[in-house]
Amino acid sequence: MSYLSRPQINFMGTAYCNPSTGDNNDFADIFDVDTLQLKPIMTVIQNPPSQPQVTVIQPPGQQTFPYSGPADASDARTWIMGLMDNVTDGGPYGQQAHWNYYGDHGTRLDNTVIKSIQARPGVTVPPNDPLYSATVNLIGTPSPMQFQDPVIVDNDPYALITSQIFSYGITVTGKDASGNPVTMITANPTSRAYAYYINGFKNLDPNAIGFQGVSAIFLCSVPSGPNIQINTSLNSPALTDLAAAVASGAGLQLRFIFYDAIYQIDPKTLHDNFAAGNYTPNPYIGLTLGSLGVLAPGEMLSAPPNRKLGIQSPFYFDPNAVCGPPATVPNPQNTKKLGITLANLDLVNEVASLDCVSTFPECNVKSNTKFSLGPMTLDLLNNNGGRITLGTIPYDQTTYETYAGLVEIPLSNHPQLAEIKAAVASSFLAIHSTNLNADLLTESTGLDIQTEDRAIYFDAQTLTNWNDPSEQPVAGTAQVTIRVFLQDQPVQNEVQVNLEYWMCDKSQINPSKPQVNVPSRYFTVAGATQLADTVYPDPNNPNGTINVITDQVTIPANSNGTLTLNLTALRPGTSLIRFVDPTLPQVTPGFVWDNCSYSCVRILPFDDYRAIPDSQIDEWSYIYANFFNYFALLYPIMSRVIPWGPLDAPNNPDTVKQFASNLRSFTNPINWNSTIYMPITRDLSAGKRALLWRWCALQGG
Amino acid sequence: MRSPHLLAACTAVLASALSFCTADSYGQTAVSKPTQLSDPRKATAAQLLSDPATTAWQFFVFVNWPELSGNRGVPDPNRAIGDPGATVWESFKNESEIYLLDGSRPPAWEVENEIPMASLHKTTSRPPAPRSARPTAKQLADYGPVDSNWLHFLAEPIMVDGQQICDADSNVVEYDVRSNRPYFDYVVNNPAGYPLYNLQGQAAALADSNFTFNFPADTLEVKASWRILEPGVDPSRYWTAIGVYYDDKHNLKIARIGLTGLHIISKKLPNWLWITFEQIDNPTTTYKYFLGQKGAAIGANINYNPAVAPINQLWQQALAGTKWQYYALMNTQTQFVNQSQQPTLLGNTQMETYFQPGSSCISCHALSSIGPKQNPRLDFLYNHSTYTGIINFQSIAAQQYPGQTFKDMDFAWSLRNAHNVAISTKKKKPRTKTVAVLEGPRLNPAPPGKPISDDMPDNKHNNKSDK
Repeated sequence: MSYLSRPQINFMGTAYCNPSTGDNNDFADIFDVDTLQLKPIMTVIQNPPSQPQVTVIQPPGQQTFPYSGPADASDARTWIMGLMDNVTDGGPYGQQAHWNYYGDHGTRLDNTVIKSIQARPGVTVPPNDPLYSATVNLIGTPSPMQFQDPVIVDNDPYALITSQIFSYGITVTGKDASGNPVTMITANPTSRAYAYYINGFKNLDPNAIGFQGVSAIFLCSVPSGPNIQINTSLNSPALTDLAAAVASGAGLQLRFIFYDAIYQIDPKTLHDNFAAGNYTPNPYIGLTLGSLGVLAPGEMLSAPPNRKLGIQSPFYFDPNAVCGPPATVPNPQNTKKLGITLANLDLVNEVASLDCVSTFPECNVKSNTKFSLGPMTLDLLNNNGGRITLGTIPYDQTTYETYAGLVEIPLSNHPQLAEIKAAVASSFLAIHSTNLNADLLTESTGLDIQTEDRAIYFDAQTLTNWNDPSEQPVAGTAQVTIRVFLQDQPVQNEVQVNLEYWMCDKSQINPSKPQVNVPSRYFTVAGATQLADTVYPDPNNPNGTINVITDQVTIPANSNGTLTLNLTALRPGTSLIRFVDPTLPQVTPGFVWDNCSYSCVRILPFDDYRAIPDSQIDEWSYIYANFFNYFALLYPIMSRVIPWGPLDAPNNPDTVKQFASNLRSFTNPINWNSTIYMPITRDLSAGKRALLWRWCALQGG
Repeated sequence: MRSPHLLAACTAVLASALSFCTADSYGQTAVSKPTQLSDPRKATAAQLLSDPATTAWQFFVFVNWPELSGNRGVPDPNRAIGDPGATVWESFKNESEIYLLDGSRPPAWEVENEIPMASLHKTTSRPPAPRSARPTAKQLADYGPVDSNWLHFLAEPIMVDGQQICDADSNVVEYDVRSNRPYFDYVVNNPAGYPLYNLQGQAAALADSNFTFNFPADTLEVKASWRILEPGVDPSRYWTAIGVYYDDKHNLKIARIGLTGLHIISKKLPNWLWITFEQIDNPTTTYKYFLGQKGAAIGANINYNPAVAPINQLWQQALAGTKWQYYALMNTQTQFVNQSQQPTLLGNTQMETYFQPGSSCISCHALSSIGPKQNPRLDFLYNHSTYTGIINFQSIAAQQYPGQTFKDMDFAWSLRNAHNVAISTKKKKPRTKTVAVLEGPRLNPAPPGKPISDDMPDNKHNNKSDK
C-alpha cells in the first residue's frame, strides 16, 4: 500500500520555510556544536582561493571576533550580521549572516491546490468532487500561542542532511456543495518528518541560486485511530474511498517535497535592512508537491516505503543544451544524477508505481520545465542480464505537477506479465534511458535499512534529581530501532548490519558541509562487535582515505528484521550512525548522503549547576551569561518575544522575569514533540533546563 | 414585570449554555444614573447571584466611584460616578507596591510608591525624591488633560501567556494589577503571621498544614489594560490617566493612557465573583502583535454573552455623560461549569486575547499555588493547553509534579508576584535600568532641556512608612 498505491490525493502549492541559521556555522565558526559553547575567537572560514570567500562588512574586514562573554554580545551579534559571502547568490552583497539569522523555524505548506485524485479501482471521482476544492495543510500544535506553524529543525545545525519537521496534524479543508467552508480531513498527531533524498541536481538551470537547485522529501503519518476524521457526508466519492481505505489500512500518510526555493529577500536588500537596524527574517519560499495516501499495516511512519532505486549512474550536462538532451560525451565537470526513486510492484492490481517526485530534474528556475532525457523506461533486471521493460515513464512537467511525481505503469496488458510476476521477487528495478542506453537508477541488491529514530537527542550524563548536589551522574542512554528490508520485505533470516560513525566536519567550517569520520566514539552500542575501520577513498583528496570507526550488529532471524540499538553516551556531541549492508561493495557516500541510511545522534552536554548558590543564579548577569546569552546570539528572533538582549535588541530583565512561568511551561519536556516547545532547536540539556527552572523558581514563576 | 425581550435573551443564553442566567436573572428593566454610593459587597451571595449582570455593573460603578481624596481605596460619597479624579480602584495598591523585588515588607497602605522613580535620579546628584502616584502639574500640562489624577505604573507589558497586543500606532497595551485594603492586609498582616508578600512567607504557609489561604470576603482585585493615547487619538471615549511604563527597550516612558479593559474579582463568593468589562471600541482599535509587528484587529470578544446586552444598554444609558458609558460588560463567571456540566468561559480581548476559546478565569485561578522551592507554582498552561471546567487541584498537582506538595492560594494568582527575601549577595536595584529622560508623546510639547526633576511628582502624599 503506502502513498504509492491508490487512493492518492495529489496537490501542489508553495513551501514556506523560515529556519534560524545563526547556528549553522556556514561562514564563521561561532560556536561548538558538541559543547554548545560560544567560541572565544569567532573566525570567518578561510576557503581555498577557488571557493567563495567571506568577509565581514561590519566592522569592515574584521575576520575574527574575540568573544569574552555577554559584555561582547551586542558587538558579536553585529559581527555575525556582518558576515557576507561575497560570491554566492549573485552580486557583491552575497548571502548575509548565514542567510536567515532572524528566522523562527516556521514551516508551512501554503496555497495548496488538489491537482489530481487517484481513487482505487472501481471508484470514479468526478471532476466536481468537493475534494477538488480543498487545500492541504500541515499544522502546528494548537495552543494559545500566535506562533502556529510546524517547525523545521536541524538535529545537527552544522549539517545539511539532518533536517526534520515537527508538526501536529494534517488538515484538508474545502467547500461543500453550497460553497461553504468545510473541514474534510483532520488527522493527528503526525509523526516527525525527516529530510530524505536530498537532491542537489533537482534543477540544472545554471542560474539557480539559493536552494533553487535542491530538493528534499519529507514523509509523515498519522496512525489509525479516532483522531483521523474523514468527512464522508459531502457526497464526495474521493473522500468516501479514502475513508474506506484508511479504515482497512494503518493510518494516513503524507509525502511532500520542497524544491525550487529561494530567499525572499535578496542579498542587497537584506544587507541594507541590517545596516538600517531592521533585523529582518529571510525565509525561503519554494514549491511543494504532495501526496496523501494510506499507511499500510507494518509500514513505517516516517521512513520511505517500498523498493528503492538508489544506485545512481551519471549523465552529463551540456551547458549549450540547458534543457537537454544530455551530452553524449562524458564531461566530468558536469556530472549529474537522477534523484532516488521509490517503487511498488502491485501484482494484485497489476500495476507498477513509482515515486518520481525527486527523480527527474528541471532545467529552468522560472518555468520549471523538465530537463529532457529522452524516453525513460522502468525495467526489470534479473541476475542473468535479462531485462523486461515494464513501460515508459512520463516525466513531463504537466504530468509531474498533476500527479505530484507519482507514476503508474499498468501491467495488465503487458505481453510478459506472467514473466514479470514470476521474476519480481528475484529481479531488480531500473530506470533506463533509451537514448543513453544506460540505467541511470538501479535498485540495490542489498539490504534496505530504515529507522524511525532518524534524529535522536539525549544527555551525556543524567541525574534523577537535579536538586540533589550529592547525586552522582550516570551516562545517558538512548535507543535507535532499525528495520531491515530486502526488496520491500522485512528480512526473516539472520543478517548483519554495519554501523559506521560519521559526523559533519567540525574542524573545518565549510559551507559544503562534508561528512567526515568521527575521530573517536561519541557513544557505544551495546552488543555491537567492533570491526576494523572501514576505509573509503577521500573524494576530496586523491591520495587520501577516510577511516571510519565501524561496529557490526546482528539482526536475529525471525525478528521481522527489527533490532533496537542501545546507545550509551561517552561524550557530548553530534554524529551520525550510517547503516550499511556489509555484503555490498563499500562506496564513499555521496555528497548529500541521498543514497545512505543513517540516524543522527545528538548528545547534549552535562551542564551541572548544582553547586551554584541561589543567590548567584538569581543575579541577572549570571543567568544571562550562562543561559540566555547563548540563545540571544544563536537564535536572536526570540529576543523579539522575550527581551533578554543583547543590548542592541530589547534587554529588559524585569520583563524577562515576568516570563518565568511561561519559560517553565514551554521548556517542559512534556511539550518536547510539540511545535511550541522551547527551544525549538531542542539543544537544551537537562542541566541547562534545571538551571533555567531554578532561576524561574527564584522569580516566583 | 419583566421585559419580554430580556426573558428571550435569558432563554437564548440558557440554550447556549454559557451563562448562569436563571429565571430571576436580568430582571432589571430600568436603571437611573447612580447618584448614591452603593457597595455591592453588602449584598448576600444569593442576591449577587440572582442577577449576575446587574451585580457586575454594580461592582463596576462601585470601583469606578471617585476616590475620597487622599484615602486610598475609599469612595467619596459626596461625589458622583464619572467625576474627574482617581477612582476607587485606581488608588488600590499596585502589585509593584506589595511584592517588592527584595521581598521586604511593603510600606503601609497609605504610602504611594508604585512609580519606579528612583532610577530617574541617577543622572542627578540629589537623593531620590519620595514617590507619589499623583501626576505633577507639569505632567498634567504635558500629557493632559486626563480624567484621573492617579499616576499609574503599568508594571506588566505582557499578558499571562507572555503575548502582547497593540493599538493602531503599534503601541503595546500595558497592564496594572491592583488590590484593595482587605487583600493588602491579608497579605501583609496575615493573622497567621506569615509574610505572604514574599516567597519565604508563602513557603512557610505551605508547610503549615493548618493554614489555608482564605482572603476576607470584602477582598477586591482588579486588572486593567491600557492603550497609549498618542496625540491625535480621540480620548473622548476612554477613561484616561497618565501612565508610566517600560517600553520594549526598557526605557521608562510616560504617556496619556486610555482604559481598554477591566477585570474585577470579588471574594464575596467562595469561588470568587469574576467580572470583566471592555471599552466598546476595542474590536477595531486594538490589534494582535507579534515579533514587533501589528497584526489583525482583535475583533469581538468571543466569550461575550449576548444576553447581557440589554443590561449593558440600561447601564450605559444611566451613565450617559460619563466616560463609563463607553464600557460594556462581557460576562460574569461564578461557577466552573454550567447546568449542563460544560465548562464556563470568560475572558477579555485585552488580557486573554489569544486563548479566549480556552479562557476560564475561575479555572485558571483555581491553580494559584505555592509548592516546593524548586517548583513554586503549578502551570496554568500545561501541555500547550489551558485549564477549563472543574479543577481538581491536587490531581493536577500530582500530574504536573508527582510526589510534591502544593497548596492552593485561594484563587489569587497575584501572589505569584512575590519574590525571595534578599537572597542576592548584591543589593537589589529597584527596577534595573537607568533612565535618563522620562518621555512620552506629549500632547502639549514643551521646550526640551528641563531638568528631569520637573517630571517628578510632588511628595505631599507619600512620606509615610510602616517601617
